[in-house]
Amino acid sequence: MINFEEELKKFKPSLEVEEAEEAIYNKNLDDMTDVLQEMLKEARRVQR
Amino acid sequence: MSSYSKILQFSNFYYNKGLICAEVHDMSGAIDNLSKSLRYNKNNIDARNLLGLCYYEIGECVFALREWVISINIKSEDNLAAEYIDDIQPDITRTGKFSQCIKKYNQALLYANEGNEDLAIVQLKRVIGINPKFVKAALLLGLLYIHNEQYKEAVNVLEAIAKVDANNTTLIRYLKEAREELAKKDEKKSKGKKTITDDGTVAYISENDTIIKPSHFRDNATLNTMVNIIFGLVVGILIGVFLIVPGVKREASRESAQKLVDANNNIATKNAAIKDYQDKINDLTKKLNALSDSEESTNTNMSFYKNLLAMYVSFNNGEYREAGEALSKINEDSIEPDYKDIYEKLKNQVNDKYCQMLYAEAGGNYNQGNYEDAIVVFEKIIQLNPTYGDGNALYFLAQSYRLTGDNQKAITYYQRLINECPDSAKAANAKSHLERLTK
Repeated sequence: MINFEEELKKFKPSLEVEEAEEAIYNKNLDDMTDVLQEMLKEARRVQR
Repeated sequence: MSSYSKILQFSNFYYNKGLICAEVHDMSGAIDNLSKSLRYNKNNIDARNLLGLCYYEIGECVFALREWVISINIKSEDNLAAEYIDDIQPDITRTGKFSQCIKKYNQALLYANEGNEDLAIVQLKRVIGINPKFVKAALLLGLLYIHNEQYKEAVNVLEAIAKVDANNTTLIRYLKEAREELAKKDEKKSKGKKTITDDGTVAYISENDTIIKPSHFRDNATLNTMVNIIFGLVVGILIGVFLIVPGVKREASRESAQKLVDANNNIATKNAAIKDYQDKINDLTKKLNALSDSEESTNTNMSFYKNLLAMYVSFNNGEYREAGEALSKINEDSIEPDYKDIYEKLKNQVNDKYCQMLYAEAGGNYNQGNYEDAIVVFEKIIQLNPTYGDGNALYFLAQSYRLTGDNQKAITYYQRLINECPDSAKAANAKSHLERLTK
């Protein structure tokens, strides 16, 4: 049985077109390569 | 194989999975896989462009735009994302199709949260009318229908959107619930159904009981006829009160809700237009201010060159007073750095001649005992050159003040002479006057 109130809470307002710029700037673009590079840097720092 | 190649391979694997999902209209699955692909390799342009397309397909045009803009930033040439953005450009302006869709959806969500479900349903129907693939709007509409026990409408809306995003888990849940409730409703209806048997009798099935009514019923008694007529009238009135009136009320309420939504839409569109005009006014005001600043600066420059020219002409004609007065009007901040040296030389020449003239005039006034006039002219000299005449201008200014009885100012200027020209011929006299005045 669906709980209407709970389901309704899951709906969030859509981003409006005026907010697109903000959405682009806030997007986290890190990928696996960035994570690996960060790990290597960390490892080198620990070795020193 | 290097780690980097493995990462790229994973990215391509998820891209291929995403592509397969997109081909079978499983947009949720496609978005999930393509996002994973980009987590492995953010520069996978095909995956990013396809992710944008998937977002676009489910009506999330802001996210689509975001992915395409990032895609163009990564690879600016020979990129399909540029074409996609060009294609949707007219629809994402403030009054464009998608912008209106999003605004109306947000408004509907607000209505739903405030408990105005009728208004929310009307608004969402419009959203679906504009963009039938807007999954979020269809899901919300389906949920509202389920809550209002309009299961058939819910099933219709949800089945239509299932063609766009077949494996959306929320959609599947809602659809299952709506279908189950619809089936229960149908079952209840069929339980109360009447059947006509071969011998002409009518049978009603209610729960486990079968009620059989004869096919003909004769009663000629007048009383019974009257009772039947009254009973018919009562039933008619009851039907009117309980069935027709609520229907009319519902219709009126629906119409007023429709009008309210129309009015809200008009207000939203007009607000958008007003904002556009406001932006234009701001732009024009900025331009006007810039032009005013530029005009002001031009006027300042013009005034500077006029005064400079007047000074030069007067100086060449030997009119040193006029030259000096023109010099005092010049705003030195307006001089361009390249001409500063030339200006300084000219200024010194003019000031020398002007001071000479003023000193002669002031001396004449002093000798004739016109100390008030002498003070005015000596003050001018001090402003132009504080130590003029090896401090003589300062000394005679102090003297003039002393002789007019203004001892306080006389003390100030004697002190200045002692401080600024300690080796001058008049410094010793100034000291003795100062001692006398300060006793």
